[in-house]
Amino acid sequence: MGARYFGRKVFQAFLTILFVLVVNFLLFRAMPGSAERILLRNPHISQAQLEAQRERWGLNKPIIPDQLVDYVIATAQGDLGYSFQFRGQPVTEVIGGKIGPTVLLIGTGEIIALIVGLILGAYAGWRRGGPVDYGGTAVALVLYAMPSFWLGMILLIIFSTTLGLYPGHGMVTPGLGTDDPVARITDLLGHLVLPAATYALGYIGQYSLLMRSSIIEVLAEDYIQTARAKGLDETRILRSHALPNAMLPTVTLVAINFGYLWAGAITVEEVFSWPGLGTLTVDALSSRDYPVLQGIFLLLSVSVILANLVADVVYSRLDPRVRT
Amino acid sequence: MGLSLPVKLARIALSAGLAFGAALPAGAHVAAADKLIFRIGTTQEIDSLNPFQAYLYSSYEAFILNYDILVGFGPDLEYAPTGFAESWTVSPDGKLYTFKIRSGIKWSDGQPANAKDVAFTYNYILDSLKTDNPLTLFTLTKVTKVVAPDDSTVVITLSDPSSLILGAYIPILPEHVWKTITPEQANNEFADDPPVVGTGPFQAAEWQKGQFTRFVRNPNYWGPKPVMDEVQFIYFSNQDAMDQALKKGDIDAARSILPSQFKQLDDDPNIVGVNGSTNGFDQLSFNGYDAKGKKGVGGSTKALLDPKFRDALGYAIDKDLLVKQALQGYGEVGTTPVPPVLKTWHYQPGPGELRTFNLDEARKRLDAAGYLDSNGNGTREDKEGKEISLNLVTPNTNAYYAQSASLIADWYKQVGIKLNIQVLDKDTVTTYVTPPEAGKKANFDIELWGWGGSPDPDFLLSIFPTSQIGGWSDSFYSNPEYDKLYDEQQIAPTQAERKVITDKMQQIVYRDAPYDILYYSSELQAYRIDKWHGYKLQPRDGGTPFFSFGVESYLSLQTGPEPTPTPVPVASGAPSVGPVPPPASVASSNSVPLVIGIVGLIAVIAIGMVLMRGRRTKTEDEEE
Repeated sequence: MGARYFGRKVFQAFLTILFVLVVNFLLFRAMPGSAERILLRNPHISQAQLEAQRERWGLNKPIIPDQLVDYVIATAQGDLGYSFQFRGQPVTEVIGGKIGPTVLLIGTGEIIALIVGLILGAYAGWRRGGPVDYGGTAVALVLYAMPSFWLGMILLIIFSTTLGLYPGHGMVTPGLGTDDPVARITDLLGHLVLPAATYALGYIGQYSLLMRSSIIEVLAEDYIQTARAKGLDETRILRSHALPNAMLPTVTLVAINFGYLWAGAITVEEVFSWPGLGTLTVDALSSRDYPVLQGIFLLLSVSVILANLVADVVYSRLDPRVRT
Repeated sequence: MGLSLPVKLARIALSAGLAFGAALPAGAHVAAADKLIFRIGTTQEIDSLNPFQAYLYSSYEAFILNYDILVGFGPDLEYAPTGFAESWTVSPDGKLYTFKIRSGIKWSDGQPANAKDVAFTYNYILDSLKTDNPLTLFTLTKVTKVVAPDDSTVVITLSDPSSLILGAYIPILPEHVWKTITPEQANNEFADDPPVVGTGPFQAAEWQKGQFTRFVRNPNYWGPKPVMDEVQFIYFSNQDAMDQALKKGDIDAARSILPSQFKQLDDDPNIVGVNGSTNGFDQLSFNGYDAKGKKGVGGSTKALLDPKFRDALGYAIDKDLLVKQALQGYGEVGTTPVPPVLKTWHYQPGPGELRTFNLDEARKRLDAAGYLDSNGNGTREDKEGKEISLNLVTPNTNAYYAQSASLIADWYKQVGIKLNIQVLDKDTVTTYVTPPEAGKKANFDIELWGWGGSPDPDFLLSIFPTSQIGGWSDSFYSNPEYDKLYDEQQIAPTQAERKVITDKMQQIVYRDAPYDILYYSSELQAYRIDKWHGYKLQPRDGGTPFFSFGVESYLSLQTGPEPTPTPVPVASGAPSVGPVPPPASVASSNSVPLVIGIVGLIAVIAIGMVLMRGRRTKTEDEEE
């Protein structure tokens, strides 16, 4: 795989990130409602104190270019500023603590969705017209169409409230009172089941439908007929010829999806009060916590860009035709 | 041929998943090591453990658990010796208060607590007022000097006789912890992180932001020992999930539950719902800012400054309907700023004063006040000839605000006034209602929002004096008579004399209508009675067991259900303005059958499609 190809992709990614930084910054400044209101919720403050606080937080300098340049330089150094909402706590700390839970939730959900969705879709496409195809497609369509918030509440009501199988709230049991790692992990996993299931179910629909149509398309290709003519058995054809080619669109979809994963994370996290970036985003939005919002959106943009970069690279490995 | 690869993989994955998922319930409810924990659910997370940085209602419950105040509040919000002060006396001229501090109080870290800590806390605030970082969140009205001549006495000197010092809702802080914190730090970086040092029954030991705050029992508490080892606030981002958790028993009590859930929860044999009257109100604030000709400042029409205009509009709103629809019956019609739950202080306008819902009367009064529709287009003009088109701003914090606003817009339209509604976040609304005295432009016409008060009516009356323009005032009302009365009530020698003054003040404010107070909405709470009993409402009549002004419930709760069959207090509202009508038609059916029905339907569709697929069993293998 060409180093030039790779280098060009990285450079493009870098430029995109820079552009995103600037747009991020300007976008939040353009919204109505001023930032200092958060700092000074006490209406008894005098004009002098107002000015002092504005200076302290650098809000009295002109937005362009001073505040913008300050922001870009600081970000490059890893300083994302201080949260308005959590008085004086660095943004990196506020966000850092929430990344783990969200990655855990999304990671688990994605893996389940990918495995189940791809297997289901492949089988449905392979045995087109069969019972798995019809049944599976019906279920997949319904799941795809379901709003994840609603689905989450349904699972909560059935499995948590009514059947009492899983906790419906939070990530851990507060004050567990034991340091036994097995107990703590079991507690965490117990809390993870419903949110991850909600998340996964939404994407299973999408992935299986995509995989199914990919497989069907691939099966119509000439090289599949050739492979059969050569006498290879079905499993071998599927594994070595059909699946790799059918996977390509899926790779693209997963990378594109990465941007929307967070939206799914927000709604699922809100239902189950999962303490991740989703709930943090909602809180920061309602309290106009600009630094935290900027940090989250920066993180989001960078991960989308990186995911697409990785997708480009993986795609070029999977498909030699792309490697120019 | 044998099983194809996808099928093999599917089987493995499915079995693994099932085994995993099935194994978890057994482990998911790990018992929290035999500790007795009382869990309260709330959707409003506390904002800070530092009293000087907390503005949210929920934070005040944290303070009353962590700390004591000087003078406590009893079952009916009367002053009670349940704080640091065992007793107190007043000098004949009313300017000197001497408090006897109870002995034997210790801080949660074992250090002795006494009068010196009280003096320290009050002087900490007073001294900060002289610096660049005044701690203005708590006010020590009329206080000039605070001294602790010995460990069990605090002497407070006032500039004028006033009993307001007794109602000072200020947590007493440990000198040995706070003496090294400057006011600047107290206002900014100092977070008072756990473990908190206080004299209250429980101290914050852990706060996982976005998840929970754990309060651990104070081993050195001077009062009756609470039966539970820990109190936990569990934060939910979603009210439905909170109500489910209460039903399931994951939490023992919940505050601010949805009206749509209230009846269902109350019907549950193990749960009791409390329809508590809020100590506060929700209102329309009319922008009475006198821009004196300055452009871009103030409201869009001078009509807003005319009391007759405001009075006329007061007849155009059907508050009974608002309570029934927007609040779903959980609330009472609004009148004066001191809510009925403060029985001693609320003033109810008499039949001659009370404005009733009457659109014709509203139109008549608007005509008489000189606001006519000269060009016949359906909208009245003000005295400057401009069409009256008002913009209403309201925060998105409560769904019933937006609902009320659209109902009001409709009524106003029927009397010839246009109303445009803007639902914004609360900080933007705050910016819009801030006047030039505090750096902004007061660019709004009407604001729909609410206030919460303390047991003493002084605060809610303090939003109207001229001196509060640039401070708490968002109506910019200015009436010298009111200002004079406000100062007088603060130094009235007896409660009876004070009540005469505060009644007059409420009368004036009702008549001039800088606010049209819409309703006193209910605070709905619910708690489980199968695992605990001994909940105490504060105030007894129309209050709630938690998030009130004391820790009585926490101290009196016992485990298990109520031992003798006693009727449990259910759905009590404050009595003064008539009984609260039961909610009109609340969908009370359990949602589970519906859910099972939907899931079943999906399954049926899937199976149906499978069965009806026809004879297509061959794959593309067969294409020739």
